[in-house]
Amino acid sequence: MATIFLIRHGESEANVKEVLSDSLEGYPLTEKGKDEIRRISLQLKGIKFDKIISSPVLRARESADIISKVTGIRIEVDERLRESSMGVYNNKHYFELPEGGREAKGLESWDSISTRMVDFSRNQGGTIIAVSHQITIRVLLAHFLQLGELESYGLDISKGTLSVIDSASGKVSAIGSMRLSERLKSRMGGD
Amino acid sequence: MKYAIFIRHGESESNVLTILASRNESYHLTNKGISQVKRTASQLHDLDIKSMYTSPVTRARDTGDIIAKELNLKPEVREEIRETDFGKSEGKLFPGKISELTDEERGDMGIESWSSHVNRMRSFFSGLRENSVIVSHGFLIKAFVSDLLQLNSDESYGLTIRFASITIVTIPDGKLLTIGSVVLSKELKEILGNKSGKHTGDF
Repeated sequence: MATIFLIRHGESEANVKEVLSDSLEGYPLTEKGKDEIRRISLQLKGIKFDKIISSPVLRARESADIISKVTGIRIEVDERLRESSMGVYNNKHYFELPEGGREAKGLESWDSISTRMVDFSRNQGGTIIAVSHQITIRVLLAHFLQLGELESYGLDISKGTLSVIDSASGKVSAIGSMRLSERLKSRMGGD
Repeated sequence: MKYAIFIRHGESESNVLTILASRNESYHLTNKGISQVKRTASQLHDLDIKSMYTSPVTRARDTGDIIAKELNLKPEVREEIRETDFGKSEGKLFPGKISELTDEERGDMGIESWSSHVNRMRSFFSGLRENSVIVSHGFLIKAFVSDLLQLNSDESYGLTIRFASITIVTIPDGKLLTIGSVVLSKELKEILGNKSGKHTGDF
């Protein structure tokens, strides 16, 4: 059971080109994306994290590298944090996605993402940073808020933002934040 | 189980013009806003709603009128759920989001504080006794939801209440059933029950 600081990767070439991608390589962070991650990393300096765990996808690994440089914490990679599988739409443009739900479009289902993310959250201990993706973070937050896919539509996880959950109590302490709140910072013993 | 359905008004002229408008104004819904609200209204069609309330602001009243027609209810106008008090910034251009400012920035602009929004909504919500639809504004609904989740302004940054979106809270517990949604799932509709008073699937 752990306190997990979930960070969505910064802006990447995939976002700029408006391409959906679950590929491990091919879409690095843009300069803006690197700045987004530096900004949030500085907010986390001084907090005693046990480790950074990253999705294997390039834009997440690069984000984790920046966080590691700023905070001095070591990185591990975990498959369970990877981007949603995009099926036949992998490396295709957003506008090519048809209407309809995830499964109808051949994207990885909500339940599939939820299973691996919840499994990940149950396996951790201490206080960790997890670098992942928009849908994966939203799915995990929704799980702890007891909301489904349609019910969690109002949870926006922008690039470079922070969401915090305590996997033991199920408490959600931040949703897509740009700033680490003062009281969270105090609670975590930050500068 | 009783519930309160908070609907944000649809897109309006003041949103498109990025004008802060809460008093002495008549910015109506745009055509897009009307479509948004009609879609939301159809989601509520089969639900067993007893009361309707709306903010006095034009875009909320326009929204309320469309939903009222669908539900065959007459909306009661309530001051407590009026848009943010913009103070000296009323009528000014502001292309950003009020909810994303700090309380200090809001104070400098003469705009109502986060906690004031929370207090108004808590007070209004505590008076609800039956299944209700409440047409109000983005920042108000967001502040209320954040408070229910025990999150402050920084912590709830990613919480987004879109035009004509649906946020449902149980009465009196304040449990969130859906946040800023545009479509109600089949499962949720079963939990909410329908007009005949039956919960579908319940025997």
